[in-house]
Parts: sequence; structure tokens; C-alpha cells
Amino acid sequence: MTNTDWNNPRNWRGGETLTSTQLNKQVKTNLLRLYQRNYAVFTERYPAASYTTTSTSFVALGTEKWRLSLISIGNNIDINLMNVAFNTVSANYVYFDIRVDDDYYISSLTSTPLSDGLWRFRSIANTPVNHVWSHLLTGIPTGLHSYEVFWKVNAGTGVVWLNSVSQFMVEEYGLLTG
Amino acid sequence: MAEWTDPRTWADEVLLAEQMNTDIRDNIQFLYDRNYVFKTTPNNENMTGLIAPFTSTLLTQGNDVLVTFKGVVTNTLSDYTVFDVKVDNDIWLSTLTTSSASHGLTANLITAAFYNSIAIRFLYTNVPAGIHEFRLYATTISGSGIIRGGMGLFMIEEYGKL
Repeated sequence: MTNTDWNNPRNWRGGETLTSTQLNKQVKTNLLRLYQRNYAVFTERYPAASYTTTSTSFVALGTEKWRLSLISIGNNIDINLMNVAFNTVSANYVYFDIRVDDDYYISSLTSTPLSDGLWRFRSIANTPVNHVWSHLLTGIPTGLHSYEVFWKVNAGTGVVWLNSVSQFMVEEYGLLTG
Repeated sequence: MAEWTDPRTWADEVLLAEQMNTDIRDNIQFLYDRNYVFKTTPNNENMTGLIAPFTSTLLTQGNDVLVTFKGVVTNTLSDYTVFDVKVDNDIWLSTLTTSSASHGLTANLITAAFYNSIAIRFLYTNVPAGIHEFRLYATTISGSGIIRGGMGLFMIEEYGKL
């Protein structure tokens, strides 16, 4: 669902006639928008096989599977990813980043991700560990945007474990005021 | 706490105080308050088999529900600590069936006596309106698991609608 039916609240003037059109637009629609929120989510329970990568540069997790689209109206975007992952070789890293609009990575806000990505962890060999990652993406313009999970390793094989539940969620959030 | 009422479609009509209070005041208050419950746990909660240190009940109105948990866990043996959430004493979030998955909703493989953080942030969708019980279960594959550090937090919040 994309719920973009927000109307910037008007300034009411003294003495004006209150119309049903105004009430429906300014009150009903806006209340429903706040109540329903605006987000997209993808959940996968116990896939048939683990996701693996040996890539030392960022590649998509799955084939556009971990990709969400959301229409937003100029507000910040809250991004959350839960998974269980590890590296097959001890002391090696697994890195995650999010690519926006097939264009730029959140870690760097450019088409070249930071070497450490947005999130990373150092693994004990073949040791599945639970992660919940979060990030607030600011300054994203109004429109339809895609968000896709990318990942890589520095060496060894990165694994998002088959015996787990993973969830990826993006939500239109508020605007920064300070 | 104020209750949510789907806001009415206004017609060209005389505004009634009752409508203003139900459709505007109470709804704004509901959004401000939010609808959630949470539990914290004492330090050293033993995880001997499937236990349920956290149980929360929430009245929802057909929206998705955000389930979050954070804590610090350890195991006496190098093995898994496993967490899952059972809804209405019926279905598990790991499977949406009456059987929990082998490693629950999430799990950590812990080196013996090490401490690991554990976190769940999971949106449970298609939840029917009504009173629902959410119970956090924890177990190990082998060894004795303990939730350490105190103030483990289990929170249930009525969210939006996909």
C-alpha cells in the first residue's frame, strides 16, 4: 500500500463558513493518513536455501527479491532489516547497504557505496547471529522510490541463513525540524 | 485511553459536539497516545525449555502489529538461543501455524558463556480486530539459556495498515 493522501493543514480564518469539503479533506483524510501510516514490507520465513555471496563488491540480495517500492511525499524514510547471518570464515565481515532507485547507496549517498557499507558485522565462522538494522534516510524527494538490499563480504562466504525469518521494511517518516 | 473511530464523511450539516468529540478529539488523542503495551524482565531470567517471561495483551482494530524485543542472552553451552512469539496461545509468528519453526522467529548461535544481544523487530500483518495475546518464548537447542542484564523489553504496538 502507498498512502500519500496527506493535505497540509490549512490556516483557518475567523468568521469563515466551515464546509464539508474542508472537513473531509483536512480532518477525515489526514486522520486516516496518520492512522494507516505509509509503508511497505517484505517477509520471508525459512527459505528453501540460504542466500550466499562471495562477492567483495556490493550485489543485490536475491534477484530483486529484497526490493521495496514506496511513494512518499517528501518526508524521511525509516528503513529496517531483520535477519540472521554469518560468514563461513572466522573473523571475516558481512556488509549490508541499501540502494535507492537503482542509483545510489545510502552509506555514501552516491553511486559508489562506502567500503564498510551501511551496516556490517564481524563473524565467527558458520555462527548464525541475529541482527536488526535501522536507518533514517533524510532528504528524499516526493515520488516513487525503490529500496533494495545489497550485500558483500571482505572474504569467505556471506550467508543469510535459511533457518530464520527475515523482514525488510521501509516507512515514510516525519520531517526533521531541527 | 481514547478509542479510534473511523472518521465520518462530513455532509453540509450542523456540527454536533458529539461528532467533534468522537471523530476529532478522540481520534487525535488516539494517534497521540498510540496503542501499545510493553513488559520488561528482571535480570537472569532462566530459559530452561520453552518459557514465557513476557506476555502482553492488546486490543487492536484490524491493523498490523509491530512486535519488538531487545535483550542480552547467554548460553552455558556453545549452542543456540531461540526466540519466537506465540499469538493467542495458538499460532507462532515464525510459521503462522500452531508449530514453531526449528529456530523460531530468530536465533543466535552463542559461544559458551558469551553474551549476545538479541533483537526482534517484526511487523505481523493481517491481524484481525480484537483482543490478542502476544507471548514471547525463548529456548535453547542445548545448554541453559539466560536472559541477562535486566530490562529486556518486549513491546507490542498496533501499527498501520498495508
